[in-house]
Amino acid sequence: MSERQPRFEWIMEPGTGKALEVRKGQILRIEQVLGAQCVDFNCFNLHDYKEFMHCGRTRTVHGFNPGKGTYLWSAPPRERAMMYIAEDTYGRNDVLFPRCSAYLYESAYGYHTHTNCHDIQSEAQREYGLTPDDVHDSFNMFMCTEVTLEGSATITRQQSKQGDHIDLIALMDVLAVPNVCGADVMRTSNFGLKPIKLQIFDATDEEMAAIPQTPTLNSQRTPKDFVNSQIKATRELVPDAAYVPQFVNTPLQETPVDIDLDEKEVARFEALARRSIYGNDDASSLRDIVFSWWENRYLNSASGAPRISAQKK
Amino acid sequence: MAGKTLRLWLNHQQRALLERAVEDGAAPSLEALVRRAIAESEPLPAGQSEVK
Repeated sequence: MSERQPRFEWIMEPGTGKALEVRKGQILRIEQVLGAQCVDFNCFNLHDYKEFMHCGRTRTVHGFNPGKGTYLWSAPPRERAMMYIAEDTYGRNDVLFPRCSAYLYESAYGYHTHTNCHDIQSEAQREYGLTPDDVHDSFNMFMCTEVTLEGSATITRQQSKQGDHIDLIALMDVLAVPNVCGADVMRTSNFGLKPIKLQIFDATDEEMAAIPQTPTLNSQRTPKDFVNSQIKATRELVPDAAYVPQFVNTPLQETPVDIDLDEKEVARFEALARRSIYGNDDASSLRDIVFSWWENRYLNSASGAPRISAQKK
Repeated sequence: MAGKTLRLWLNHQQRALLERAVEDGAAPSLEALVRRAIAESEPLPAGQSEVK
């Protein structure tokens, strides 16, 4: 693929970002020019900016460090695979840390102004009419992070080299917004800022066919499915006098099922009952046993990841 | 230890999930499914707690 001609090429200099239209079936390559540079990234549905890449959803499906063979997912209720990571030569990325911000550099370092990923993202996507409030948590490429046993997240130095790259295949038309991370006083990019090369290629039929399928489900809702699909144009929040709640599946009322257990089953139940949680509440213990069994037998992942077929499109 | 009747309280969403398992052949009835869950579940190792 390295011999193919890019449709577009751009060098992002330190302190900058670039909003790029990447059409379905195109590849956005993000490449180290000198190495050891973190890149923050987000993307929007090009035809509806309210659909954007959601780190929380992506983290739930692929863990803290998504890499080759994973997807960038949009926020609920859309929850669609927006881009597919077809290549990742370094293999260290992060969706745990938020983008760095001006507040961080002022509060921790005393800067009145300082390059920061929020403001760089904001300025880049301003070209498309978006505001600073439209910046979302970032997919942090080439960023090395760890979670300690105590539950804290930490950043470590990185060793990406010149030419290391990530190839993102667009699965829908997107506005992609990468930026050179502005953290020159942190270890994120080894205390220095370096340029990053951006290229857009057309994916081949073979590359598209190699992308595993993600499920298409009714729950992946778009504005046509919303009770209120209008984008709010005013900042003040006031109640709608005509509002009537439409929570789904309510009211949630419980009905009993009696289960007769023999002596042996009672002994088994007693061994399974989580008394440290439920005390003498047999009903709650039983419900836990039944649904834990169901999870172990039927659920693809305890975290609720969708079933992604190995079957090719 | 004598036999015992336990009462499982389910809302309609929970019941639907278990009834689907019954329809898929996991057990002939909801009651049988619960008994199967008890039979196939493993207790926590002694001294281990899930409560942090």
